[in-house]
Amino acid sequence: MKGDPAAPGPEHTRSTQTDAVFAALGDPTRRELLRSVASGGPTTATQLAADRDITRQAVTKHLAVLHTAGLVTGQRIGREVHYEADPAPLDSAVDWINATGAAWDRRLASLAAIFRA
Amino acid sequence: MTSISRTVLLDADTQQVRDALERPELLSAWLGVWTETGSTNDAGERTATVVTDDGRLRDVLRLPSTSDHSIQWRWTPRDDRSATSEVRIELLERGHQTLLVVHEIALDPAGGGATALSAAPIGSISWMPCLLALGAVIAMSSVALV
Repeated sequence: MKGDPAAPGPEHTRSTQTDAVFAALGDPTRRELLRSVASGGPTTATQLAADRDITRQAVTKHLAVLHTAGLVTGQRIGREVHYEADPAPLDSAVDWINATGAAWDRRLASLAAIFRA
Repeated sequence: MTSISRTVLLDADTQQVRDALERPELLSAWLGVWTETGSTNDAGERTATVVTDDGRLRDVLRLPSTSDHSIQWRWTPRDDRSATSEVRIELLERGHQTLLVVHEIALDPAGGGATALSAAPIGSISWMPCLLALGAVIAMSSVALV
């Protein structure tokens, strides 16, 4: 992400967003950065890099991945982008897991009943 | 990639269970009204539809089995073409019983995820670390953001 971050476009379907969320959370550094952004409130790549043994450029790249997944939002204030965490993209993943798991619980109970009969 | 896994121990041998996963009249008894809509193509795939217990009509593409103890298909709800997922079922002998393991994996509607998954054995699908991370983030977010 360079310049002002842009919100994910409407072409982002639920499935692609879910993939992006899981890909973003698959990296421990990004999970740790997200945790910091969520718990510490709006912050910048410079501030995040200052607390870590990684460069501002590396932090910016990680934030770009989190932003693409919709897990952080950014607002440019002066020369810096201030990032905030946004848990909303996790909803679709959790909804899918809950609905699909419950459906298979029902189906497998029906299947088991056939063989008990 | 989002996925779920479930297991169930069935009072039947693997052939009986396989029949229940392949024969339309048996599939209709537990999964939903299953209708074969096409013959097997050169790639070993065949098409069907199923109306699952939630009332959704799904188009099904049965994929060629990689072994006698696995079955897989890809299905897409008619009312949400972006929600294609892949179902992989393994059958493991447990004496006179069968342990059935089902995985359902949400796929990228563009097909890239599906291509990658086709070559990936079930054991390589590492969703649990992501799910644990997801849970941690949800817990964290509910405290920090709400």
